Order: sequence, then structure tokens, then C-alpha cells
Amino acid sequence: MNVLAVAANLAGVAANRINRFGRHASKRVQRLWRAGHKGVESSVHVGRRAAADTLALPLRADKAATRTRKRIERFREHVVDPWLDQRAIERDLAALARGTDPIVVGPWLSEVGYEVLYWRPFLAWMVDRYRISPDRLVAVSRGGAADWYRGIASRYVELLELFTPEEFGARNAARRGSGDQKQLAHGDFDTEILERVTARHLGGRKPRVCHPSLMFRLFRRFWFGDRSLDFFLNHMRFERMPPPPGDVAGLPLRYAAVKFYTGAAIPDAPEHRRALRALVSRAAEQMPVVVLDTGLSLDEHRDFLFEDVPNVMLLGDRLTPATNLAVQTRVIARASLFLGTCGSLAWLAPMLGTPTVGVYADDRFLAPHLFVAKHAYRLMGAGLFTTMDLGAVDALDLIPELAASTGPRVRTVQ
Amino acid sequence: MSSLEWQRVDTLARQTKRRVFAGTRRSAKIAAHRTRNLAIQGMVLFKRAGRRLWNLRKPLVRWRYRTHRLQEQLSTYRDEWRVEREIERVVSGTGPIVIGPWLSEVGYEVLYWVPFVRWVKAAFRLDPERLWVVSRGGAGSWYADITPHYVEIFDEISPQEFAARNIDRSEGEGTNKQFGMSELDRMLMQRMEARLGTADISVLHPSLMYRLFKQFWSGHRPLNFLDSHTRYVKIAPPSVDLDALALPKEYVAVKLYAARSLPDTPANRAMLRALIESIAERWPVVLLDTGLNLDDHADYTFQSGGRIVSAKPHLDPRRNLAMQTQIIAGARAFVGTCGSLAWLAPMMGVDTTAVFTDARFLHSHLHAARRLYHVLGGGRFSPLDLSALDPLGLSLASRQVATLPAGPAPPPS
Repeated sequence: MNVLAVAANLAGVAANRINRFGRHASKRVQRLWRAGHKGVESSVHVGRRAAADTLALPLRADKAATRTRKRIERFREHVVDPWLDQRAIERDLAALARGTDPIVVGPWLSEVGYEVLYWRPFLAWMVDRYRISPDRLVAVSRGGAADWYRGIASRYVELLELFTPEEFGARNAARRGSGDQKQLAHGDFDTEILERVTARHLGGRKPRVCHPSLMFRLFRRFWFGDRSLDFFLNHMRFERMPPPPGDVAGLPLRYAAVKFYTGAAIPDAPEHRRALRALVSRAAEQMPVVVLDTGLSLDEHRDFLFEDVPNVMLLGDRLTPATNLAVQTRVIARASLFLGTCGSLAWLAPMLGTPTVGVYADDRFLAPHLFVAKHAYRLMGAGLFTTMDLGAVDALDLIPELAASTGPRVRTVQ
Repeated sequence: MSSLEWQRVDTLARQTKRRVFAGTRRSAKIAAHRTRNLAIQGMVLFKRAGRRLWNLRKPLVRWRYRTHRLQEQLSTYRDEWRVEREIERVVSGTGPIVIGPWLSEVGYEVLYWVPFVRWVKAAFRLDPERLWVVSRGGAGSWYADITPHYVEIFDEISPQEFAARNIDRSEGEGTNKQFGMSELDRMLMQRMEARLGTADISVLHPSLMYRLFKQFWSGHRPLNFLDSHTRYVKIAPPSVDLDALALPKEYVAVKLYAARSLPDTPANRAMLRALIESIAERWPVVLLDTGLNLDDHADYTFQSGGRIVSAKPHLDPRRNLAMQTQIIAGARAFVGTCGSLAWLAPMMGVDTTAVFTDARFLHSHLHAARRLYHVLGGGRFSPLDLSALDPLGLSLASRQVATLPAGPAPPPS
């Protein structure tokens, strides 16, 4: 009985052990299987990843190459090319400065605004940078702009003494029609002007020419946003303009000078005429207003007139083609306020120390000039320069006087 | 010897002496002349040499000046390349990228940071799922086209704590701009790690943008530089429930706050009050004064009533920017201090009048904004320089006699 019980116990123990062994063995086998499976899986994964990485290598290399190529391209376009252009122009200027030959600066045929805001400070920089004696420089411009070149060029040649205003207007219009308002290249009209200047004012002595195209080429990239403000300021010398001598007869003691003309900044539209009229009327309530109407068609801009507004006077026949800019400069220099289209003489007024409000309805083409003007005026300690966007005023009816005015429309000179 | 003979002898002696010494004297005279000439010539030569030597300085000075300028330019480019390399490092890999945390002004966020992030995403073809924007006040809609993941800072810390720590940060760094990683940034990053459940996160920090664009703001880099590092698109407003505000059908949104461009002076306050009155005569006005002092710009406060509604009671810190964005998007026009949300409104197609009296600190931003809005074709952006009205004798005075009572404006901190 005991033997049987012992045997049964032993058999049970053995069975248990076998069972446990079997369980352990199966667990181990399972574990091994799992590990093996995982290993295979991971090695497949690693393999796949390695394959993918290897396959991606050309793509990554291509991306890196594309990125590098783009960077080089960008660097060439934005750094190397502008620098090469700049060097070429600076070399031209240095060549001009050498020797003792007279240097004609001009002829200036494009807008007054560019002449005042860019050309004059550029010439001032050039004279200073290359130590050119003002005695060598002969400024050639139109409309009696001699005062603007004082201290830069010792001689001034008036284009409207070389050509009649009609002839000049027609030839300049033809120049604009065949190219651009900006003088980006030396044209036939320039050549003819230079021939006349050489023959009549330089005794036949062939001058060197500092053509406005040099300046336009130098700053074109700045206007398009490719060159920095630093670059621009390094090629400009902003100085306040001394008030021109001489008086304009018949002006009140205290007055506001006003010059509004049509252009990209204020297109000729009824709502703009109405708003400008209201502005001028309001200003005329504060002090007499002198409207700088030239009545000349020397460029594509036309003046807005406000002759029927009370307390407004026009300069009328005091402005002749050959002296209109000189007279306007004098009037602005003595004014208590200048109010005008943002552009042209509005850039000049703060340089003469006159507080200025530049008005515009569209700043699409004004952005770089406004940016420059603000910096320039700060550097030269100019008169206060503020701007007024007719859009802001009109959209919200912010200035009641402007919307309240319903007077007759102003006319433009045709 | 007779005197006559003595005279002859004397004459002969003299003649002999003259004959003997004549050549010598001439030679001496010539020698003296030549010596003097030599001295003069030496002087002339010396002067000429001196002048030549002095002139040698010119090319040296020019060379030094050019080298200095080139060095400056090179250092600008080096900074730029360094930042670009850092951006590449940040975006490489496959882990999540935290964009932010944005702690500084709303204006810089709208005008520069969001377009910069958009550029990074496009330039490096980043998966939107990897990007997590961290900002405050419910600015998520500004990033909606960049990533769906937006983390609200005010969910992590309270607005009061945020304001206090942000002021500490600004004071510690000496500027409100995020030119470096601060303690507050680190704390928020730790929270982000906890939220995302991984420490393997990359951070596209605003300092990268500030360092990159600093060159543009200071005039060292052109506008195209900004163009090539930003992407501007029109922004869609968020869908926030504004029923509680009971907004009028047509209204003008107004947000005026004290800033360097519009300092808090009695004259400016009077002018702004007149401005609001003037607008309110034509259209209902919704004032976006938050009453939250989260940065150094305090809102001008004007008492509401009648046609002037203030959104203040309904603006909670967590959603204030989202609600303001929504209100602006529904407005007929937006009028505000030039900065902050005035940069945002045109991007949503809303005509904007940006008011200032001192443009000194705005030049580069205005320059960028003017071009951007024309290119983008958004709402009309019209800067209004209030100082231009005074010389003309123009006022923003109301046509009606009614005067809007105005509460005292809090001084800008």
C-alpha cells in the first residue's frame, strides 16, 4: 500500500516536473520564437530603413544641391551683381573726377522730385567723395533751378535759354515717349543739348559728362528693394538748402504755399478734387494761400487750380518758363507752410525749412521715396514733413470740413 | 721809380690778379648759385616727395574704408547664414517642432513672425503635424494655414503670472523683443515636453526671426531680404461666438493704445477722443480696449455708450486676440494705433487707418507694410499722421455738439 502510495507520489512528482519542464520549455521556445521574430522583424525594418535611406540619399543630395544653387543664385543676384554695377558706376565717377576738364552735370530732363530728393544729394556726395572743385561743374537743368545747385556747381546753364519752351516740351515728350520718364540712358536729345552747351558756354572745350543715368542706374536697385538703406545713405549727402536770395513781389507776410498736381499719387478724380478743394479752403481760412500754378506743360503733370477759393492768390504771370522753379523756390522758402501733392516740390520744401504736408491718395509708387525722405530730413535737420492720405481722411470722413464741402469742381490746366 | 712807373706796375699787378682770379671768382659764383639752386631743388623735391607720400594715404584710406565696409557686410551675411544654419538644425529630424513661445508684441507677431514661420514651413517642406505653435490670447487663427496644433500659453500659466514674468523678462533683457531664450521660455518648453510626452523636441524660437530681421530694421539689408524670408497670405478670421457682444450690423472697429508712435499726452487724448466721436457720427464704433496689461502698451480708454460699444467686458485673456480678430474681420473699417492689430486688419481685407503722431520708430515697418499690402491685395492701409492736421488748422472735431465723455487714460507703463 505504502509502496503503491510512494510510487503514485513519485509518479505525480515526475508528472509535475515533466509538466513544468514542458511549460518552461514551451515558454522558452515561445520566447525564442518571439525574440527571433522580433529580430527578423527589426532586421527587416533596419534593412528597409537602410534601403530607404540609401534610396533617399540622391534625393537629399539633390535637395542640398538645389538649396545651395538657389543660395548662390540669390547671392549673385542680390549681392554680386549689384556690387559689380556699383563698382562700375563708381569707376565711371572716379574717371570723371580725374583731370581738370569741365564736368557737365546733367542735362536734367526728368521730374523735379527726383532732381531734388536724389540728384542734388547725389551730386553733393560725388563732389565731396571725389574732391571735385565746384569750379569744374556746370549744372544743366531747366526752369531756373540754379539755386538748387549752389555750393555744388559754380556754373548753371538754363535749358530754356538753349531751346524755346515749346521746343523743349516737345523734344522732352518725344524722349519720354521713346523710353522712360527717368533718364536711364544717354539719348539723342542729351547729345544735342551737350553740343549746344559746349558751343555756347564752354568755348568749344569738350566737357566730361556726369549724366543722370549714372544716378538712376545706381539707385534703381534701391527703389526696387534690392539694395539697403545703408547703401543708399552711403552714396548721398543730405544738406539743407540755403534760402534763395531775392523776393517775390506782392506776397503777404504770412502765407501757405500750395501746389497740387495730378499724377500717380493723386489721380485726377472728382472726389480728389473735392477733397483738395476742401483742404485748400480750410488752409485759406487760417492764412492767405499762394497757389504755385505754372500753367506750363513741361511734363505729364497738370496743376489743380483753386482760383475761386477766397483768400487764395495765384502767381500768374510772375512765373515764366525759364524762371518758374526759381520763383516757386523763393515763394516756398518764405512760406509758413507748404501743402501739396506728395512729390516734386513737396520734397524740396522741408529742405528749405518750411513745414510741409505731402498729400496723396495712392502710395503705391511713393513707398521708397517716403522711406528715403523721412531719413533724409532727419539727417539734414529739415523742416517738419508730414503726410496725409486722402484715403484715410475720406474713408472715415475723419475731417468734417472735407466731406462738408460741396463747392464747384476745380479745373486743371490743359 | 717814378710815380708813373709805380702806377703801371700797380695796374699790371691788378690786371694779373684779375686774370688769375677771374675764373676762380666765376666758378665760386656759379658754385654758389648752383648750391642755392640745389637747395631749392632739394626743397622742391622734398615737398613733392612729401606730397606723394601724403597722397599715398588716399588709396590706403580708401582701402581701409572699403575693407571696413566689406567686413561689416560680411558680418551681416555671417549672422544671416548662422541663423539659417540654426533653422536647418531645428527643422532636421522627424520630431515635433515647437514654434514660439511668442511672448512679445502683437505687431511683430503679425507682421513678421507668422509670415516668417510660414516661410520656414514652405522652404523646408515641413509636415504641419510636426509643428506646435505656442502663443497667447487665442492667436491660433493667425497660424491656421501653418499647423492645426496651437497651444495656449494661458492654459499653462495664468495671465497675471504671464504678465509678471514677461515684465521680468523684458527688464532682464532690456528689451521686449525676444533676442534670446529666457527663463519663461524654458519653463514653457518644459511644459510642452510634458504635454507632448517627449523630451525630443526642437524649438523654432522667435529669437531666430529677431536676429535675422534686425539687419533689415536697422537698414543693413534691403526690402527684398524680408521678401525672401517671409510668406504673406490673407488671414481668415476664427469662428468665435460673438453673440454676447450684440455687435451692430455695420461698425468700425477701433483700437487705440499708447505707444512711442502715439504717446499718451493730453493733446493726443483729445485728438483721439475727437476721432472716435467723428467716426461715431457716421457708424457705430466697437472699441477693442482689452483692459489687460499684458505688455508695455496700455489701451486708451474711452467711455462707451450710445453708438460706441466696448468689447472689454466680453474679452477674456484666453480668447482676447481671437475675439478682436473676429470683430475686426466683421468691421466696415479698422482704425487704430499704427502697430499691433493695425498690421493685421488689411491682411483680412479690412480697410485700415493707422494713426500716429511720431513716425520715427515706424519707418521700416511702414516701408515693409506699404509694399506688402499692395502686393497682397488686402484691405486699404492708410497711415494717418495726426500731426499733419494741426498746421492746416484742421481738426477731428465732431460736427455735432455732443461730446464724448472720456475716462482717464492709463499711463503707459
